Amino acid sequence: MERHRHPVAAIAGKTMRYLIVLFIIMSLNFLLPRLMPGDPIMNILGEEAYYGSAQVLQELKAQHGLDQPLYTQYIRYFGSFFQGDWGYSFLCMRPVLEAVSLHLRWTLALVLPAIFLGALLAAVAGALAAWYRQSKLDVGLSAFFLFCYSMPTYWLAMLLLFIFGFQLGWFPLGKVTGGDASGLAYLLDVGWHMFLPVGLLVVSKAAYDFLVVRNSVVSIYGEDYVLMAQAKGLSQMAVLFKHALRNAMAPLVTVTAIQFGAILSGALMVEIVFSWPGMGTLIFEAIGARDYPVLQGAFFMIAVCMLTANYIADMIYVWLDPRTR
Amino acid sequence: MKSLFKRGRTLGVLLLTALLALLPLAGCQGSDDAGADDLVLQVGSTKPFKTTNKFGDYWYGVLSGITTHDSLVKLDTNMQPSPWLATSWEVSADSKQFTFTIAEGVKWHDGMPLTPEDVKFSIEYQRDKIASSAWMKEVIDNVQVDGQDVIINLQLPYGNLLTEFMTYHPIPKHIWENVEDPDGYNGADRAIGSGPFKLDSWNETAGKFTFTANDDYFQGRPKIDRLVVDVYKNMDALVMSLANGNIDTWWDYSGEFPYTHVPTLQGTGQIEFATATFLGVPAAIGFNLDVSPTSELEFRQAVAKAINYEQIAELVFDNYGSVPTYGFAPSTHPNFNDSIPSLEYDPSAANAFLDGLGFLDTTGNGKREANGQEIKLRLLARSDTPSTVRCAEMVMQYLQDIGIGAQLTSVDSATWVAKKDAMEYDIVFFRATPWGNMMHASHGSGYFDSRRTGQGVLHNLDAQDYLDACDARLNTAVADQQRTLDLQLQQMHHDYLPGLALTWIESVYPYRTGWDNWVIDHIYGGVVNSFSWFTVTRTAE
Repeated sequence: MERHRHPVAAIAGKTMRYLIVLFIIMSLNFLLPRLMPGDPIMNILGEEAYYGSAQVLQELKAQHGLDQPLYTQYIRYFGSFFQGDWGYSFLCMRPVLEAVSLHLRWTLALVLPAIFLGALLAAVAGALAAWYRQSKLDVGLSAFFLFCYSMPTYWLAMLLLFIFGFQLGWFPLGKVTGGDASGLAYLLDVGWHMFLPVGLLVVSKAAYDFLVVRNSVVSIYGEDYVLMAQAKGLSQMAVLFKHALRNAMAPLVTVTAIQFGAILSGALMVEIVFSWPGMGTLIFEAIGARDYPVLQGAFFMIAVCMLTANYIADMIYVWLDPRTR
Repeated sequence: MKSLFKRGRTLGVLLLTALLALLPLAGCQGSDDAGADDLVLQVGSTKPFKTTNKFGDYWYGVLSGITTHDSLVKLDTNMQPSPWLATSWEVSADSKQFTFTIAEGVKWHDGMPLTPEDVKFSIEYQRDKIASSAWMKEVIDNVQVDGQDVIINLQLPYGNLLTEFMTYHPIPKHIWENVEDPDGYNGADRAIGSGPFKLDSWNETAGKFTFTANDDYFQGRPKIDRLVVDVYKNMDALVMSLANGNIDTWWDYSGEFPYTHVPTLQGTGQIEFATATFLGVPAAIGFNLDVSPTSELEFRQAVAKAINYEQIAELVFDNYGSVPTYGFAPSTHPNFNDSIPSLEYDPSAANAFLDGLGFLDTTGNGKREANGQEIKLRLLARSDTPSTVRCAEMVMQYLQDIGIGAQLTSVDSATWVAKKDAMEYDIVFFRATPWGNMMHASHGSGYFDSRRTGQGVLHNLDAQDYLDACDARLNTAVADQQRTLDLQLQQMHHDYLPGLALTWIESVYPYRTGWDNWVIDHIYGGVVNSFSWFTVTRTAE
């Protein structure tokens, strides 16, 4: 016998699960950086440390709370985190919240359009390839996306930069902005700088999603409701995009939610090639400097974004597929 | 109508996406204050700048030393201390008192006069508040002002003070005296110095510094009106920018311009190259002197003979390398000991050393044994410097050629420091910076003296006569005594062999055709340095 839960109870239960996951992630965020070999204090002192500096080392450790037992640091971490004090970054020399926000902003500027445009491109291309399977269009699209999927992202990034930035001079050689504009000119300048990295991420995401959508549409090609729609005399495109694609979208939504976290932190190579001040480079540098507060803050933000994306995906899934309500 | 609605919906999705992309950018903006007739020098760099606080950001601290701030003395192109903010100096016979006479008429960028009181404050402030300057607490007793003179009384003789002070820059007392946490100070006036350039702006988002010439600079106005430092996150993009004219030259401290890019840039016909001997050591090895077999001098000598230095110079450093001597620091350092022999690739001699130690290949499998077990050395390298990893791979092969097994561990910088300090290696690969070679008792001694700590420091040699020689060198400011001890320390590097340079190199500094009259500086960053500001010209568009 099927159990029916009150919608509020269902949402509360789901929220509780997400909160438990967040707590576990935060604990791991605290623990994992500290398990890595290396001493953040050495990064502060550098090569100028003199042989009489044992006391200085101790003072610095105390200043950053690293002289306390691990459990004390853990309790303090949670206590201050929820009071809005995410600590101070000795790599960026500013509060962690400020450093993470600055970099997250630019990562979102890359990732949000890449996620949506990549999904859109994959949906359209995947659906068309499936609908006209084994045609020249299908072969061409499949070959293109498989090529993109199999190429390392950093290599494609360098290729784009070389061809369109250096050889043709159509786009700048990386960075977010030239830094000499304001107002609308500034936004246009940013858009111009964004074109290549966003384009690359769109294609990279679409390359994987294309296969998902194509296979999904192929699998429902012979379903009764598709035949019904065709029998009603609807145009091919109406049948494909209104009836077939909607039912094939659920896997794309799931994949997109899963990819969100990976793209958020995994655009590192793209950020480096395009000199983009995003989360990937921040995390990379923070790992090198063993900047624990930044790592905790950055991973927390990624976890929140990831969980939010999954939460939204759950909601969209219900909308797309009434059977899951 | 329906079609129109559908198109509108599609358009809406696209607009929503564009809006989502631009939303995070709300609040960001740039600025535009370029002057059309300015002589602007655009310099590219890949250094990870974070802030314009010279205490909080190591790399900005280095950059500020050639732009916004001055030191009391500078190392001239002949590697000799030359007057700068201090017009002259005297050292007492016991090397415990240094008296600097400060130039008159020097102004801070905010118009306030730079006084000897500022210099005294700066020394005391950095001694007391900057962690990496903690050595001053052990050395400096008190600082006094007498007219234009600043008198520094030391607790102990310290002959290297002049060299140390080349990287210390006076800061304005009226700005910093109330700042308790200098590393974290974010006041708008934090970048004010007395140097040839004023910091105009730092656009962190764009990765761009803009400096303007200091009209009131006490050494005269720089020839460049504006200096722009453009920061890239990868060298390939920087090289492309150089080739297409976005930037004019490249700046780095202690890094090498990648030789693989030189032919491509030469091919453009728009780039010229200055060269200078690198004062650091781009690739070196150090031995763990506490464990066998590397604790055996003959074993270390065998390793030294097993390495093909010419091949490393050719394959890793594109023939810009040269074979070093056993003395470690390159020949352009003052008081270079030219009687120390060059390293030499001689596998027969290496095998003879190993045979003499009784490390024989008794099983005939090509691997030597010690105490009945095959020798397998632990090699430790940093993965963030590709040339070091390549050298490590080659050294591993050279060792195998003489029957020594080895396992290479290549790790990130922080892990490398932890493993190095825990002595979890037999041979460690490292690099020495120009200042690193000059620090402590000079000629690379700062890397080997067992009493030191620090990120790149090996602290592996504890022979008493070596430590005594270091102390004696630190304790004297008398040139003749310094020379004698410099020669002795280099000889000890040969005798004890705590480590050895794998190559010395000629650094190349690219710049766009049309820029001329650079001063090539060995230590402050090639063509981009405090001396070039007053000589460089642009002769063609």
